[in-house]
Amino acid sequence: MVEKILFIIFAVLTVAGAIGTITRKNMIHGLLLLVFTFLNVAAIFFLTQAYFVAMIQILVYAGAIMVLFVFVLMFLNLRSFQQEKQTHRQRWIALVLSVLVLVEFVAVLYGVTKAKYGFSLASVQGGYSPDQIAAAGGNNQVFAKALFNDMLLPFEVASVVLLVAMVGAIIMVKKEKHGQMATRQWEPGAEPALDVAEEEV
Amino acid sequence: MKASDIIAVLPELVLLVAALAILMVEPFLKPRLQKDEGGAVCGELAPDRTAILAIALTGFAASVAVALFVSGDTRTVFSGMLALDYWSVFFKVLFGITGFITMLISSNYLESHKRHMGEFYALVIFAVIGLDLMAGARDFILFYVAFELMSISSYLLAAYFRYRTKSNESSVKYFLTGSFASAIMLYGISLVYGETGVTNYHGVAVAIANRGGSAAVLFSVVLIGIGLAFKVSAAPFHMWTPDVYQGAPTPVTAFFSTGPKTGAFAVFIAAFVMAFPGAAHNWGIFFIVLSVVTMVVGNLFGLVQTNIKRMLAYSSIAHAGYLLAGLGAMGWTADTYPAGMGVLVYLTAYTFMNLGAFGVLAYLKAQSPDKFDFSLKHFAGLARRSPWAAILLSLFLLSLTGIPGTAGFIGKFYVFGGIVKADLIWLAVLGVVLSAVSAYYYLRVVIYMFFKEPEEELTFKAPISGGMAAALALTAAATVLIGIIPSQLWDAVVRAFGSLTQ
Repeated sequence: MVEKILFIIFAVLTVAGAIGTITRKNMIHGLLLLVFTFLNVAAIFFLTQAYFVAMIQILVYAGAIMVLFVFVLMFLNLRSFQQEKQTHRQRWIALVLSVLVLVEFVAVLYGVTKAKYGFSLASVQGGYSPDQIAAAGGNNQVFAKALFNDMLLPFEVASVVLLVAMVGAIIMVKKEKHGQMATRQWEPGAEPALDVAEEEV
Repeated sequence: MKASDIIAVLPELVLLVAALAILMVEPFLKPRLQKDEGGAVCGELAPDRTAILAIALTGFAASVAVALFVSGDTRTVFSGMLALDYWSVFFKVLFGITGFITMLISSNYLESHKRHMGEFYALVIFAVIGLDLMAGARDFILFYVAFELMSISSYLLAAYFRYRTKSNESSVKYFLTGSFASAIMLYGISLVYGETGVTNYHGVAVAIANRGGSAAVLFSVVLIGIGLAFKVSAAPFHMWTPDVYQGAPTPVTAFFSTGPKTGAFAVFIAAFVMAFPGAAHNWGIFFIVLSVVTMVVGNLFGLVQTNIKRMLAYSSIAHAGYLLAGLGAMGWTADTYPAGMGVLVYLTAYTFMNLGAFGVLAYLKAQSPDKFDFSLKHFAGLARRSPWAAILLSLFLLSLTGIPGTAGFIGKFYVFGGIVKADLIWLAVLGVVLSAVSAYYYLRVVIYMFFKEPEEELTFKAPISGGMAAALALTAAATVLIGIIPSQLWDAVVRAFGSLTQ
């Protein structure tokens, strides 16, 4: 019962934090709310006894990745961001449609969960239950075995994905010694006159 | 994992070695010295990148060769993650050829746009590695990671001309909408895991069969379907396609319109047939609805385009519609797969003719980078200035229309034949009528090239030569050969399907 109440509290806070993240005009506020969301997600992982994932969530997401985000935002010119206006006009249609989708999600998942588990906090069938994890030697052992045995190939492919990200970062910023394309710069708000044919690539 | 499991990923390892070699070699290339008339050194030019092109081409050729060499061996490796069978070999060969032709098209084009970097080739190779693994994956986790590998490489390739506003727009649009679609798909995968406790295709099917399906399974089918439908640019998830295709470098567009699409269809068939056989009728309906919308949107919007690159983007939406109709028919009947085999034939034919069409565009753009803007009026009178380009582009456009004797006809014949066999005659009729509509915008280009007087003279100095000539010869030969003798291809397709449905 306590678990259930705690879960509801953290879940509500997570969703509130996520909504706050995307609605703040001030980017720094948005970022801090994102950290708040990550911490709440970590709390939910704790509740489900996935301690290892919970710690990783705090260390990697709330720690490392957020620091990176903050750095990037500090480097960018935030003021010009806040002056940007949204140009799309379908906000209300989008709102109606997303509420409809939300209702659909809730209805389907509510029905399924009720039919299957009758709303107990039992673990999903087929996955690992806390008892199995304890018998196998604890969270870290189970996690490591899954990651480096069953999931070995995806793990290796993920490292290639990281390599691609690095290569990409290099080609996006590398200064060209021999290229003849110059960087174009203009003041914010001043629309550049583009050479139509040259813009087509 | 056993040591022998490596055999299944050998084609990808070969490609990975080639990509890493390119990244290692690139910094060591010596710049060419620029000389004035007297022969004195007066500056430095970008280094000759032929060595890098050679490594990339060798990599793709070796990968195809290795894939063919290990074919015949049927097993799943890496604890059920990856399959080595005729199915994965079929797609590995197809992706290898796609990458090979993309490399050949790119070389001249990049040189004339003065932005020729080894990283370009490496990124295409990384994307192909992702595609290979997508086709071979038998597990949602591996599929998703491979899918991201392919996607991230694609976003970077779209932004390759980072100084150009259109290219930036293209990449940002692709990245934002693509990440959104990935997130939706990942949510679907997490629902599958929540329902069944496994991520393996086969395991999912067994778990659903034992415990009975539920609404959540159907929901996840729709979510995964949406994520992949985004990649094949099915309407209503097609909005990004024209802008991205227009802003990306033309060889990259050629790759986008063939590689990732084929990969997504490979997963559509493999994942849905293996993981959700019980819900086949339901996902059949999902695809039929998507295909009707996609065919109509692609063909009608294609009619009003005056920019040929955008026109081909809408044409690729329309073709995705025909392919989805084939998938729909496959799900609708659930047990026979003539339409599914038709989809594979169509994908092969489509790969060659679309690479060819974009290849000709890349050639024209490379000839006059600062004048030619892909507008219809620049194609007027092309037949006299550059007869080979005009003839080849006409061949590819006729094939895209589906004129008998070309690969496009064979593809459409098998797909629509499969749809008729599934008793969906109205769908086949709709498809055929809409391909007749598409003839208008394809043939209009042909008429402009052969029968219109040019308004302004664009000079196309150099004839088609080197890599571009090889690429266009390959694609043209394949387009005609598949059109005349499709039996070899059909045999390969039947074998691929046989190993999938075992």
